[in-house]
Amino acid sequence: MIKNRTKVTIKGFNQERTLNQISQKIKIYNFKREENGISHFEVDFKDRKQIKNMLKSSGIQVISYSSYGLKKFIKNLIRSYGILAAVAAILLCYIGQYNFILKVDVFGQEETINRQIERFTEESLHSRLKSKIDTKKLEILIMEKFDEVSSVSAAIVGQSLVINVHQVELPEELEGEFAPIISQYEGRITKIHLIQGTLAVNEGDIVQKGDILVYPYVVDSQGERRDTHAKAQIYADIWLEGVQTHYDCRYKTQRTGEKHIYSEIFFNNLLIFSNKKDVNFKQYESENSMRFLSKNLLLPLYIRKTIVYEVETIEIKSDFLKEKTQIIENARQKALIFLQENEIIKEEIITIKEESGWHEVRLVLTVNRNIGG
Amino acid sequence: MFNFFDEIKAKMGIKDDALYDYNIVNVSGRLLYAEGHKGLVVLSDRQIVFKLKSGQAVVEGSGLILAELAQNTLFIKGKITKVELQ
Repeated sequence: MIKNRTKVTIKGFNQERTLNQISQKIKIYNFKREENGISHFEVDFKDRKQIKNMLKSSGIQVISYSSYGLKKFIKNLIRSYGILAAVAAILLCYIGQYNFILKVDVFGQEETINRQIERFTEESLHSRLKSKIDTKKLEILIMEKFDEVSSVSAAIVGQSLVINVHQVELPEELEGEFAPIISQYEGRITKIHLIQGTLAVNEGDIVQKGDILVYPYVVDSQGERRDTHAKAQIYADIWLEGVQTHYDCRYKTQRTGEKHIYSEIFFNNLLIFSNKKDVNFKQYESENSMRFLSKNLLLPLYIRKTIVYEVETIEIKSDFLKEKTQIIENARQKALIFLQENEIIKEEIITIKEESGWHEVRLVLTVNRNIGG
Repeated sequence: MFNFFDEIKAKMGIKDDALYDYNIVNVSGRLLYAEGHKGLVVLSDRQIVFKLKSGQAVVEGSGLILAELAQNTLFIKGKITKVELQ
């Protein structure tokens, strides 16, 4: 591609004399003699016209000329008027349309406001020509039209008109709905520290989960109700419960150690092989696993291996009094799951319920916790 | 033309004019450079003969290609087995 040469193929006799004549004026490269008196050689691309003239006058038969290299490529390109015209047209179109804005992009905080600003901007633009768009004037128009916007900047970036907006931050009382403080737990209220709002409970009240503790409004001296954000710290004694049941007699299923293993081969869910044998386990449980036999699931051929374990049910008798300590500890662990970090247990109450054949241990821990706010 | 031929001759103190007729360099039997030729006589893939001021040079081998031919210089590529001056 870097070398720009013209390859010439000639035929005839006494080619040496022709070469000697040519080499006086033009440099010749890679002369090679083929069969039947045909030879080819190369000259520089710039000498192609001269070589043509010289060979014409030499009387030797010229079979072909062929050029290669970058200069040849460019020369062909220049002669391709269609391609040149297309390239020129594309360039003109691109340069032409580049002077226009194709879209408006608004970046801000809320999608709805952004869309409104985008629509307003589209309507305000009298022309899409970049030189005719006054971004400063546009910024002033947007600020005047939208009260929610605290600052705006408009700039032309490429073929887009980019508008960045910042919204005014309203105090909490002026935006959104107000929610009451709701109890997260069931408990007895021990301490109330009200900051804002109207109390719905008093100290000593027992509340359930979901009960309203503080209403999101205040009543002023004129009896007018004014909405506000409910804020308060309300502490209550709540109860964390853990229950453990003990049965004097229970049954447990365990494996005896006997097992039977067999395999089955399926082709597209059709059983084609099995070495299953009858087993005389009275009670059993089984596990199976499946594996495909063909690579990349080419064939629907798979093997299923099943292990059958013999099991037996045994009766386990246990005395509650002997295991009482452990049972209570189990119940305590269940209650402690609900304990939060750094919480102090105020009280622990254990209740044991006895029925025929079973006992229930209920352990309740009392802790003080912020149940709302 | 390569200038170092003149430098070699000057260094050897040789001033004979005949030594300035032609120069031939055989590079590893694969490439032959000659300057001072007076035209080709025979051109084939086994033998290339070119004229000198006094006589001619015969290059024999196989796969010979005339890589470059200019007014006064030439390059021959291929397997060169013999270079004879006649």
